[in-house]
Amino acid sequence: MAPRIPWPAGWGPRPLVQKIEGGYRVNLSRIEQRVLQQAFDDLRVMLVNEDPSTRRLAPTAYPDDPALDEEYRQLIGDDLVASQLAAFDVVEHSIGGATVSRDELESWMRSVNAVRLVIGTQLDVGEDIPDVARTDPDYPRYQVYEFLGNLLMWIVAALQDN
Amino acid sequence: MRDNLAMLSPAATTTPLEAPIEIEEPVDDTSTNPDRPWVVIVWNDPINLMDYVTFVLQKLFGYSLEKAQRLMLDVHEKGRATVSNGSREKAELDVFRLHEHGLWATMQQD
Repeated sequence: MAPRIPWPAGWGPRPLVQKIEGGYRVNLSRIEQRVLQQAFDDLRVMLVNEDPSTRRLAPTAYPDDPALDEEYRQLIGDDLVASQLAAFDVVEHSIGGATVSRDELESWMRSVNAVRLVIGTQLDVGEDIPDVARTDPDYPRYQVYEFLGNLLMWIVAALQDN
Repeated sequence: MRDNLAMLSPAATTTPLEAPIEIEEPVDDTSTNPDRPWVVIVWNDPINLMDYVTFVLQKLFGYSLEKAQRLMLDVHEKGRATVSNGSREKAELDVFRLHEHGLWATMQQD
């Protein structure tokens, strides 16, 4: 697993998620909203098209028994993808800064983690984020990956704070 | 580590010359399942964040922060940890919920 991430320069201590009266608020700048929206749009397309990068989101339940695994896949059908897409819907409805309930923030948590898993899989990252040169063609995606990690930590911290 | 204490049966208490009868302690929620229980395993991966995994284990299984952290560290350091067990149906539901949260979970018979 990846350890806690230090705040990268520029993201600073600005709270991305705050517990407020009646729920939680996700405070994203316009640019962050746009980056996140784009990441969800991309993942939606990949999920519907069964892009190989999304396999990480539906691991094999029975690695030692292909017959039972096939039975399991028949049983769950599209439920896993449907559950993920439903969580994305919640995020997209509140991405502009609406107050969200605890359940809705948990949908945010699952969604942000799913996007991060797929981008991390595509980048083939290890537990520690490497120093990527600004000239690297993957630099923008590493930036998004780091942003998603920070956002996820804010969400988990807010949910842990009962 | 579970301590396998020999327990005296009611009959043994009235007839002390009989050898004590060992009674197997029930193990978690598998006692109602006559078959071998299924175990749900979470595997280490380089992407999921440690605090996230801890929170998911607390949320899905109602574990205390301490227990969830111990399991998370087992996954991180040993590469895997058994996070739940029970009937095949229960294990499948647990695997599904872990997959919904992006954890790398599998199941197998103990």
